[in-house]
Amino acid sequence: MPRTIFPTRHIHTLKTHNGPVNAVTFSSSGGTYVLTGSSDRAVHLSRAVPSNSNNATVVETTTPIQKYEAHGYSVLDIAVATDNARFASVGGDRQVFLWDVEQGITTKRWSGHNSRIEAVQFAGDGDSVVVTGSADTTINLWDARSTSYKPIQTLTEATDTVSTLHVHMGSYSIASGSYDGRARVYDVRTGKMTVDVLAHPVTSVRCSGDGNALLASTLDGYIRLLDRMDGKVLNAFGGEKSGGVEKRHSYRNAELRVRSVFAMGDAVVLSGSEGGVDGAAAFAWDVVKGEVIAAVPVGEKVKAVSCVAWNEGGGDWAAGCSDGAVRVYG
Amino acid sequence: MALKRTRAALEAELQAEQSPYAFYGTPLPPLDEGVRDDGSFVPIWKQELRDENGSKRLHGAFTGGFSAGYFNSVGSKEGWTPATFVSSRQNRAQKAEQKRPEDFMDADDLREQEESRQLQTADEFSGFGSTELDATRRAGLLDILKTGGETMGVKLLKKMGWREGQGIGPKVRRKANLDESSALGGDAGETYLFAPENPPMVAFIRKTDHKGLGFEGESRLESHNALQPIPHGEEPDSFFGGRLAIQGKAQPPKPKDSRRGGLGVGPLNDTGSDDEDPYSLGPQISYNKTIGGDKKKKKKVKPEPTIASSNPLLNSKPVFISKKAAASRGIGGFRKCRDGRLPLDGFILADGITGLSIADKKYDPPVIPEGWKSAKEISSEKRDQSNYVSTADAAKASSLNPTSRAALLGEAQLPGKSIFDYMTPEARDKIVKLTGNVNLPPALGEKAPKGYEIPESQRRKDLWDLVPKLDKQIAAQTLARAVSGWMPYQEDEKKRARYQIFLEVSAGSRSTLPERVEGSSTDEWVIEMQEFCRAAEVFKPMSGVMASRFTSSSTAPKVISDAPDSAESGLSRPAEKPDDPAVAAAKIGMFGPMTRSTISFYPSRLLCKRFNVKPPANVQLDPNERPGASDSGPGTRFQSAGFHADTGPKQLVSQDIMNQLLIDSLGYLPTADGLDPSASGQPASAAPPPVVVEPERNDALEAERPGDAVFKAIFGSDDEDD
Repeated sequence: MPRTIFPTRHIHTLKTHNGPVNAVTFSSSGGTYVLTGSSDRAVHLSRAVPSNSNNATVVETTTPIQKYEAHGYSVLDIAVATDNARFASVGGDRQVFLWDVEQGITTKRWSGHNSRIEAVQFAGDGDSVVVTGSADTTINLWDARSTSYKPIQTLTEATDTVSTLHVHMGSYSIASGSYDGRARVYDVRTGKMTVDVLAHPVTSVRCSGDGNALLASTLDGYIRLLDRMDGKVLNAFGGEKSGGVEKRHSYRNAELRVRSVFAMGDAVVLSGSEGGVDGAAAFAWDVVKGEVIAAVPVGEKVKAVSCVAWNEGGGDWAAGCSDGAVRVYG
Repeated sequence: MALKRTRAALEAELQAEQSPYAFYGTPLPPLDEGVRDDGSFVPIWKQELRDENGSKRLHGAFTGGFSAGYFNSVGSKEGWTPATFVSSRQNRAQKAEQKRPEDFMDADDLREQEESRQLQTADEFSGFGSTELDATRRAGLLDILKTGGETMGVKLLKKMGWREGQGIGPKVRRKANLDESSALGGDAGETYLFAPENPPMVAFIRKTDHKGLGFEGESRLESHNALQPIPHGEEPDSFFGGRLAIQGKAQPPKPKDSRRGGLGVGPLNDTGSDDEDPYSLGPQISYNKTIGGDKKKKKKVKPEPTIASSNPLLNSKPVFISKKAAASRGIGGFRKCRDGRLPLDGFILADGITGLSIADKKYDPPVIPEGWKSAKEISSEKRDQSNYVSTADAAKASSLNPTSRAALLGEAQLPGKSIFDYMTPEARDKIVKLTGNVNLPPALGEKAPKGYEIPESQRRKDLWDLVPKLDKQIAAQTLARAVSGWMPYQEDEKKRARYQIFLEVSAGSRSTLPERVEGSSTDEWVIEMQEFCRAAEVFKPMSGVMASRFTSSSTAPKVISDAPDSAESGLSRPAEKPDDPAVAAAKIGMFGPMTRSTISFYPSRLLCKRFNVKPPANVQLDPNERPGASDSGPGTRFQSAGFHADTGPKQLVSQDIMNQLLIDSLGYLPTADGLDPSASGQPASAAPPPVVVEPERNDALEAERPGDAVFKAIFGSDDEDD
C-alpha cells in the first residue's frame, strides 16, 4: 500500500464531557461518528469531523448529538457493533449495557461481574456475543441474542484485573490482557489458550488485521508486537529515552491504562501516553522500523492521553484525553 | 369568583355550628340528613384511651392483651432490660452513657422540676449600669501582675506528688486523726505515714494606722504574742501581703468578739452562733466544754512521742518558740533552724542579728579618694539604627564556610573533613531525599586529598572488581549461542550489544572493561552488568533453566534446536506454567518460547455456535452430532485436517502403527476417515488425542470382523458352511 504521511492536523475538539475520557470508538464502516465514554458516567455520540471542517481552524464542539446516560459510575469502555445499530458500554458500576443507538435506551443489561468492568468487545457471528473483562479477574461472554441474564461462559484464567480485550473474528480468537502481566489469546476454534508472559501489567491488546500479530502495551513503557505463532517479539515501541521526532515528548506508560491501536492499515502503531512536564502526547510508530513517526502533543495541561482510536475510513484518529476533551486529528 | 369549598370544610363548619358546647370528647356528627356520617361516632367498646402523645396507655388488664405492662413500664417485650448493660465484646472500653437525673424521673417528677424552675433575668441584666460582672473592671491592674490559676511552682509540686492542703516536706509518721474523738481514744497506737501539715503562710500586716511601730495597742492585752492568727476563711493576699504575721502551728483560738462585749447581750439578740452561750454571763473562766478535749494536757501526761517523723532528723516536732523566749535563750544560743537542725558552724540565725552591730565601720565601702574620676565614660554618641545588622543576618550574608571561618579565626583545622566535602551534589540530594533533612552541609564534590588519590591502576582494578564474575565457560557457551541469534534484549539493540561485550569480557576474549551507557553512573553500570550476569545464568544453553523449557525433537535436526524457528515445527511443548522463569525471561526481554505457554480451554457449545465454528475436539460432543458427520457444515472450512482424527474414538494403537498395519494388510491406506497422509508426517496436532468416552461403542466388539478363514481355523466346524 502506498505510504502516506501520518495525519497530525488537529481538526476537531469535542468538549462534551466533564470528566476524563476513558474510551473512544469510531462508528463502524465509515467512522462518521465517534462514541466517547467518560468518567462523568455518560456515553456521548458526536460527529467525528464536523461538517464545516474545511476551514483551517480547529472546530470545537461542546454538545453531543446524543447522550447515553445510565451508568452509575464512570464508563470505562465502549464497543460498537458492526451494523452501528447497537453499542455496548461497561463501567465501574459492574454493569454491561447494550444500547440501541437510535433510541438511546439500553436494550440489555447484564450484571454478573463482581467488580469494575474494564473492557468490552463484540464477538461472534453478527456480533451476537458481548465479551467483557472485569477487575474480578474474569472474562464473561454474554449472549446478545437470548434473554438470558447469565453469561454463556466465564473465562477465569486471569489472576488479576482483565484490563483489555480484543476480538479477532478472522482467527476466531479473543485476546485479553490482564494486570497479572499476561496476554491471553483464547482460540475458540481450537480450544487452546496461549499465554504470553509480559511480566508487566498489560493495558492494551490488539490483534493485527491478519491476526498474526498481537500488539500489547504494558506498564513498563513498552508496546510490543508479538508474533501470535510463537510469542516472539517482532518489534518493540516506546522506550526511547530522548530520541524521537519531538524531543520534548517521550512515550510514557507507568501507571495508567493507556490504549494503543493499529493505524493506517496496520502500518502504524498509535498510542496514547502519560504526560510529562509539557503535557501528554499521542505517539505513532512505524510498525516495521519501530521509529516514532509522530508525537502529537495534545496540550500542556493534559495529564494523559488514555485512549486513541483510528478511523480507517476517514483516515483520521481521535485521542481521548484526561481533561475531558476528545481531539480528532486528520 | 366563588371559591369552591371542600366538603370537609363545609362539614367542619356545620359541626361547629351544631355543637358549640362540646369541650370534652368528640362531638357527634350533626343530625342532618345532608351530612354524611364521617365515622366520628365510635361505640364505647371501640374507643381507645390515648395520651397527649397519641400512644396507648392502657393495655393488658384493660383490653385483655398479652403485652400488659410492657408499653407503659417495662423496658422490653421480654421483660426488664438492664439499660446500662453493654456487651463488652462489641463496645469494648466505651464509657457508659452519662445518665441525667431526668432519665430517672417520671412524668410527675418532670413536671415538678419544670415548676420549680424560676424564670429570672441573669445577674448581669438585673441592674442597669452594673459593673459587677465587668471582668476588666473587677480585676483591674491585678490581672496584669497576678497570675491566674496554678503557678509553675504549684504545678511542679503537684507533679512531685504534692496535693493542695498538704504541707511540703517528708512524710510524717503519726496517728490518723479521723476526728477529735478518735484522736482522743486513739490508743491503738497505730501510726501511719502522713503528709506533713501545711505550714501557714507568712503574711505581713499592712500598717494602716498612725500608731508607732511596734505598738501593739490593745492586742497586747490579749496575748503576749504579737503574732496574730489570720482569721479563718480570709485569704491572705499574696501580693500586697495583708499583714505581717508568722503563724505558729498551735494557734490559740482567737477569742470571740462577743465575749469581749458580753454586757447587754441577751438571748434575744442572738447572733445565730450556736457556740456561744448567751447565758454564760459568769466569770469568763475558760474551761473545756468537751470532755477530755485538752490535747496538750494529754500529751504531757503521755510523754512518749506519738508523733514520729519518718525523717529521723525530725524526731522532735517543731515547736513554736516565741520571740521573747528565743531572745531569752541568748544570741548565740542553740536555736534550731526550721528543719530542726542547728545552724551551720559560724552561722547564726537571722533573728539573732539584732544583737550584732552591723554599724561597724568594718563593713563600710571604701572611701573614694578626692579628685578621682572614672576612666570609663558613657558614650554619648548614639548607635546608628539603620546600620544595625543582626547577627543572624550577618551570618547569612557571609559567604564563609566553616573552614574559612576557622582559618580567619586562626583556629586549628578540625581533624578530617566532613563526608559532605567529598560528596557530589547528586549524592547529597539523594541523602536529602532519604532523610528529609534539608539542612545538610553543602556537597563540595572535592577530590580526595593529595596522597590519598587512588592511582589510575588501582581505580581500574576497582572497576574490574565491580564487574560481576561470570563463569568463563558459561559466558563462552552463551556467546556461542548468541551467534546463532539466540539473544535476550531483542528490543534494545544497544543493550544487546553491551550484553554481548559483557559476555566476551567474561569469556576472556576481550580485555577492556565492559561498555557502559553514555552518561550513566558507575552504579547503573554495575546494576546493568549484574543483570547481564543473571541473564547469562538463565540462558546458558542446555544446562540451565532454559534446558527444561525445550524438548529435543526427534524429527527436527539437532543443529537448529537452538534456533527459535524450531518452535514452529510442531513440538509438543510442555504446558508450562507461567511461573518465575517465564516472568524473568519476559523481564529480560527474552520473549518467545520461554514466555509462551498453551493451555486448553473449553469453549461452551453455545459460544462455538455463536462464533459459528465447530466445537473443538476437547469439547464434549453433542450426542446427536457424530464426529465427521458435518463435512459440509459451515465450519468445515475452518477445520484443519488434523482435527478429524482427533475427534475420533479412542485409539488403542497409535495412528502410525495402525496405518502401517493397514498398509500391510490391505496394501493401501484408507482415507475415508479423513486422515490425511500428509498430516501423519506433521505432528502439529500432537496434543494427545482427547479421550472421548462413548458408552454406546466398544472398539473390542465393533472392530472389523476378521476374515472367515480365521473363524474357520479356530472353530473348525463344517456345519456353518451348509
